[in-house]
Amino acid sequence: MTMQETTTFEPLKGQDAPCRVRVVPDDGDQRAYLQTTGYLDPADLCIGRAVEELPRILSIRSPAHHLAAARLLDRLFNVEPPDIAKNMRNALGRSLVLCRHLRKLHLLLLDPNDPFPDHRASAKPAGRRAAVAHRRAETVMHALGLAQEAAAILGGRSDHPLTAIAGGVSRFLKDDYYQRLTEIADACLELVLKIEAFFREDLLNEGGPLHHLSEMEIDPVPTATATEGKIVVKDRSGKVVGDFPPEKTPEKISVRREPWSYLPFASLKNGAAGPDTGEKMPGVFLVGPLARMDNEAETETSETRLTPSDACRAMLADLIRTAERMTDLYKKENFVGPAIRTVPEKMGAEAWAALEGPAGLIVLGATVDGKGIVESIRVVDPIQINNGVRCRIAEAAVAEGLAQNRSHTDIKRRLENSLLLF
Amino acid sequence: MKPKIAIVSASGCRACETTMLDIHYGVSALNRWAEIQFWPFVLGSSMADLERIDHLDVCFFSGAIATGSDRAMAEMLRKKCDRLVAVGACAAYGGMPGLKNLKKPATAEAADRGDLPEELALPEQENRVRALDGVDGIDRVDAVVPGCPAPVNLVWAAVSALVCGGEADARITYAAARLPEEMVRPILSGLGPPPGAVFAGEKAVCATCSRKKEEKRFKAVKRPYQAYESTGRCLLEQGLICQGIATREGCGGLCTGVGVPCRGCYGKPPATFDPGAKMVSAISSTFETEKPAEIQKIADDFVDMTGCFYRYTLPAQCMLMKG
Repeated sequence: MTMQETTTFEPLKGQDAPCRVRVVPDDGDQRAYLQTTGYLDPADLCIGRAVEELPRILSIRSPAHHLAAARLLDRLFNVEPPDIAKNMRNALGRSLVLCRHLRKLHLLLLDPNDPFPDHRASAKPAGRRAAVAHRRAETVMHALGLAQEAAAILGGRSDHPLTAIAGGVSRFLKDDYYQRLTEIADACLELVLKIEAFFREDLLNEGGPLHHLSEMEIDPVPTATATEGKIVVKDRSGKVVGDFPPEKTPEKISVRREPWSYLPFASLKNGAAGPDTGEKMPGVFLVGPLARMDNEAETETSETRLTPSDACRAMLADLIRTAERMTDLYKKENFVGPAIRTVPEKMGAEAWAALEGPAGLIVLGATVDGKGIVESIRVVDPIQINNGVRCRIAEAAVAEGLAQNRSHTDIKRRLENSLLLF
Repeated sequence: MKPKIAIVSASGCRACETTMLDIHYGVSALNRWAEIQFWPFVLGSSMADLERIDHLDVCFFSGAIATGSDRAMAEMLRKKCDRLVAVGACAAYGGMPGLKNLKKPATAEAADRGDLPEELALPEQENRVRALDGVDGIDRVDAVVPGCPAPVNLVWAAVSALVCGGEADARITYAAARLPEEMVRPILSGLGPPPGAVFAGEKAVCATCSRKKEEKRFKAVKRPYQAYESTGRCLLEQGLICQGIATREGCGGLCTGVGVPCRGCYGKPPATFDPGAKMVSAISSTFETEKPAEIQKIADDFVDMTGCFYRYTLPAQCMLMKG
């Protein structure tokens, strides 16, 4: 099947509007473009602001940017946070992983026509299936509610956290919270195991409602993670091919704008991940749960192809790994100590920091004047990095849908579900 | 018949919009009260769907107006909705995206896109970020739920007042939301909230902040990275720029409670005309010294007052012309 005229899939569930996929006829073939407006350029918000405000300002990009910006301040002021502060930031980071992944899974589960199917309709045969999905969505939201509570305890708020500041965190935890955090960690692990089981056994397997996620595939791409303050690049087989400190980012990663999309694209420059492969979009790489996967393969993924199903399984594995670590970390002894922050004594002029956020690698770099006013800022984050992979996934979903003679609605649904996972 | 509602987000981070999902699972089943007709982020509803809808009872609109699509959506929703509710600081005051207005409008990027085929044209970026009621075709918003993000308790208070008709455990809801008596009474009596109701308090954040106020003398400006007491003492009294005095209450002093100064995401209280002017006035009137040189020294230590005092309200507060 071919499309003779330009076809638009818009808007797409779970994507920031205006976001659309336009399929344009191209010499008897079709080319799919993922066009996103993207959020504001971080420079618009940050330049001219006092540098200590960055954690709060950048938190509107994602809650993990708050932690990345706090790490940037640590570097700028050359201070090492006390252990208790590191633990609190780390614990907040764990809860944010759960919040992010569970929100994505929830959107994946929502009924495409009715987000809140009526329980009373479950008596009717047609409504029964929706009610079952609704109960699963409730399990996901229960876990999400607990993760949000943990994030609010540790970060002041779950969506735009507040507490990470230069050299540490802004306050000690109240006594009541120690017990509550332990309860949350235990409950989250139990729920996450349940969620992983029903996704793996009922939804993603052959014949399951999300099996289509394994049908659209792209060639695998290199991956990058932030590991011990460095950016580590692996090739398609999972072999480490390069690592560099965050301040080398401009030499290793370029960010460009395509005229047909506001959202910028980040790509690895030649030499950052071995020889250039001469692809249509050279240097495309991937960050996030798939990049964090251990080479020992916690889930079944392939070296020769990459599917949204792989991304979903990686997200589920990431959820379990995070929930397990939460049970170790969310203990009173990790949150008590003599100090919550190291007070800086002098300020540098430039700093870089990298953080492994829930959605993947975040690199921040900033220069400041003598009064600590931001003069320039560089942000390389999953929104830009995974944009290239998302474009390829959009192309694959459209091509696969057209080859199978799928309807417009069906192709749209596949696009939405697969883009959600990257 | 259930009220027909729309949930929409323009340019923003979606935290306010996803609050609706949290409310449904954590507070009350929304499908019991309303029929959701239009929700691009969750249902994938398009502008064509909106054009087909004749009438909506309530629209919860979050995000700032930053693109042509945002503007078109807002204008159409105003025409079709009985009640348009601005949810969150971005829709109510322009929010943090409004800081972009401090920059000169960029034209270079638009020029780069000159030879783009028509079918791949992108929505136009507006020259200025605006609040919802800063758009030409929008003469009013019917209610405001402030905050960045708007908290669940206040959004639920607005939903139960505007959608559930005050039936949904209303007394508990309004008590939890700490709304002023003058606003709660008409809602409970069935009249609904007064026009332009702001689902938050009427006083300043200081009224609900748990920090101890001891001595109103301002000695020196401190930046949050510098040393200050980790006790429960008022942050402003310690020299940190905290905007609690020029910000509407409703959050319960959330930021100050965790030791972080307020930045004004609930907008100004009704008794304040301009939050920046109020801050300058309040701080300068409590300078401890009267010596001009020392006053000058303190004044020099203030940095980025515009970006600080109008962090969430620049488009609503500092842009007098609509457009």
